[in-house]
Parts: sequence; structure tokens; C-alpha cells
Amino acid sequence: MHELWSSRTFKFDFPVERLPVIIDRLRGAPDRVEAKLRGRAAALLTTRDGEAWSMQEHVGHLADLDALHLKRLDEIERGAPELSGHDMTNRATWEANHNARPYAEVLGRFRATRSVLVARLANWDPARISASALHPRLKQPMRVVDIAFFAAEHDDYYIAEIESIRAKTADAAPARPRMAHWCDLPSDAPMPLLERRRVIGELAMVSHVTLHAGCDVPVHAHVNEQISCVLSGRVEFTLADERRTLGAGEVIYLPSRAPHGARAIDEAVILDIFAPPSATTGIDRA
Amino acid sequence: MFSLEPWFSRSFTFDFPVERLPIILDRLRGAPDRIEAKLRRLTPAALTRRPGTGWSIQEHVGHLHDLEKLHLRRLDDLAAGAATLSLADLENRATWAANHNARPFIAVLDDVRRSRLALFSRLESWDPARLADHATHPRLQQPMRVVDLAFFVAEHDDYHLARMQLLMPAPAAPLRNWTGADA
Repeated sequence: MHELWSSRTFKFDFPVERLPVIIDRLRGAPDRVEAKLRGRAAALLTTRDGEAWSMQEHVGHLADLDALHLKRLDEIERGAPELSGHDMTNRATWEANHNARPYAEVLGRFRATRSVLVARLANWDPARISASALHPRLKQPMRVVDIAFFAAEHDDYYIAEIESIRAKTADAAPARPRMAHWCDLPSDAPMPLLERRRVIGELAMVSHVTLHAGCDVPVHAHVNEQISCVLSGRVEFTLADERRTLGAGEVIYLPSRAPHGARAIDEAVILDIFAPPSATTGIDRA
Repeated sequence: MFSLEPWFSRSFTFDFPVERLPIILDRLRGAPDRIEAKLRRLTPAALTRRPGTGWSIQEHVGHLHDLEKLHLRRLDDLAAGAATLSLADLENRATWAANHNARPFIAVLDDVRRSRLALFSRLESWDPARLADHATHPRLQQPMRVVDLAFFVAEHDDYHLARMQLLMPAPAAPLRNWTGADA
């Protein structure tokens, strides 16, 4: 059993020049989580041991806490004397119900929050590198480099917790291959003139979409990368600054957050590949 | 971005509880995954480009493999009850001589994974009754326990990962109108 996080003591006496090293630790945390949990079955990822969080909830917690780290950076930036306190009951994580979402969405959110935190730290004004504010529980002044270090240590603590759960379930069965005919999968119609069948994996999702003539998906954007393969018919894609018509056999890659819309010129079938997967994409909110 | 503190300027305080070992072990376990995630999209040219007379990104990766032998030897020193740990070659001749740039990146990364697994296994199976044993680090002139050695290696990993990050080429502009012909 390792030491409890709440009993950890800290010495914030290292030079600010260590910040790039600590930033890289923070940058690497989602990669460590991804490598550790790759191929684990959803049932194992979401299993709680009594009242303790599941592996997936631990990942969700890391993303939840990034909001606090960012808030504390805001406070240092505006010269607040004291940093925000943390809710030691971790209510945000309990209430988030991270187990109810696909694992890839939970990990994708952690990647997104972490990328914001890393960018914020990497672009911190060097003139304000020594500014500090009091940590309300530790009763110690913290600089930006100390907040980064604290977050990196917090990552390590919870990733070790994940490892401890993973090791206990290492002999359990990993995710197994599944197969089906598209026609046998459930369909939905998230918007008029559009039918969709999906296979949602842990790291990617494929949507088999039929766009009836005149179907017009408004321009939207999402964090998932999307690759659209037109299997039949013709579709006019609206991109940030141009329109392109694609026919059967053509494919388009849409980077994360790239605005795009689609209009069926005649009835078209598209295979949309998304990574990471998510229960909702742009058309669900259209 | 801020300038990076040189590795040889680092000072260490080895006063944390031995119960922190599992957390540090997991940092060691994750280093090859961090390297792979960071570098997998880089071209061989970007991986092997030397900035002046310094190492390329790939040579920094190879250096982590080269150092594992020293880390294992120091664990042997501790296990044998030696008073002083083996000395590192501060000129890093093994890395300069290895010519890591001449091999495919995947082979260099595989070396890191293999040698890290050996180090990890050795640390994971360390006799709990000998966690407090220590020997003096010859450069730092400080006593180090096994948990301190593990921490030292994790910090050394982090330092070289940060050096790799500083050598990363600027990200390419998003592919706006990609088609298969351009892939």
C-alpha cells in the first residue's frame, strides 16, 4: 500500500527552470493511461471494487482535476493571495458518472483538458514565473512551477492507483472480436432524411450513414477526427472556406475541430470513421 | 518556453518514504509509452537530425537504453552491500559510439522497452527487507536507497523527454483537403 495522497508533504524549492521537464510529465500522462488500458474490456474498466472508483473513473478524475489546476493558474495570474480549495470529497467525479460513457470519450476528454493545461503552462509569461499564492490545505505558497509539479505528482498517484486495479484484473478476459452484418445492427435517425448504424469501439467508431436526397447536415465541428468514405451517391461537403463534391469511391479526411457540413445531391451512403468514438457527434446536436 | 535546467546542475533530496516506490515504478514503466506517443508521427529525418553538435531526438531515446546498464549495475552494487555506487561515464561515450541514428527508430525504441522491462522487473522484485539499504552516489556524494535510484532514473527519463520535446519540429498545418493520392 502506498502513501495516501492527502498525507503527502511537498517542498517547493526547486528552480523554475525545471518547468519544461514537469510540463513534459504532464503531457505524457494521457499516453501512459492509454498504453496501460489499451484493449481492456469496457466491463473491467468500469468495475468498482466496493466503493472505490473504477479505472475509468480514475481517468475521469484526472480530467476533472485539470479544471482546478487551470483555475489555480488563473488565480496566480490575477494575483490572488490564496488558491481555490479542492473539494476533498471529489464530488465532481462522483457526480460525473464517468462509467456511463465510452472509455475513449473519457480518455479523449482527459487528452483535451490536459492539452489546454500544457498549452497554458508552456505559454506562461516568464515575467510572472515567480508569482505565487497560498495553497489552502498545504498552507504553502505555490508558484506556477509548483502547481505544475503538484499536478504531475497527482497524476502519478492516480495512475499508480489505476495500475493497482489493472494488475488485480490482469488475468481477466480482454475485449473480444465481434462481428455482424450492418443490416442487423440497430439504426437511428438523429436528424431528418438520415439513417445511421454504428459500431462503437474503444478507440474508434464507424457509422454507416444513409443520406436521402436533399438531406442537409449543417456545418458543425467536433473534437473527433473523421474520415468519410463515400460508398455510393454524391455528397457536397462544406468546409471552412470551400465546397467539394465527392462521389462513390472518394474519401475525405476531416481533422479534429474542422468545421464541415454535408448535403446529399442524391441518395448517398457514407462510411464515417471517428476517432475517438463518442456517443454523440455533430449531427446529434444539429 | 523556458530554458531547461541542465541535468548535471540538478540537486536531489532523497528523503521521501519508501512507500512511494510503486508510484515511481509506474513512472518508469510509462516512459517508453510516452516516447512512442511523442515521436510516432515524426519522419526519420526529423528523428535523426542533430542540432549542431548535440544529439538527435533518436539519440536521446537510445541514450535512455544505454543508461539502463548503469542503473542495473547500481542495483547490483546495492544488493552486494557496496559502499559506493558505480560511476557513470559523464562523457556518455556509449551513446556517442552507438550511432543510434543509423538504425530504424522502432529498433531503438524496442531496445528501450526491453531494457526498461529488465530494470522494472528487478525493482519490482526487490526484497522489501532491503528497502533501507543504501550506497553513496559518487557524483552527488549522497546516500541512495533503491527508491532513490528509481526516482533518479525517472527524473533522468523526464529530463531527456523534455530535451526531445525541445527538438520536435513545429506541428504541420492541418491537412485541409486531404485525398488518398496525397497520403
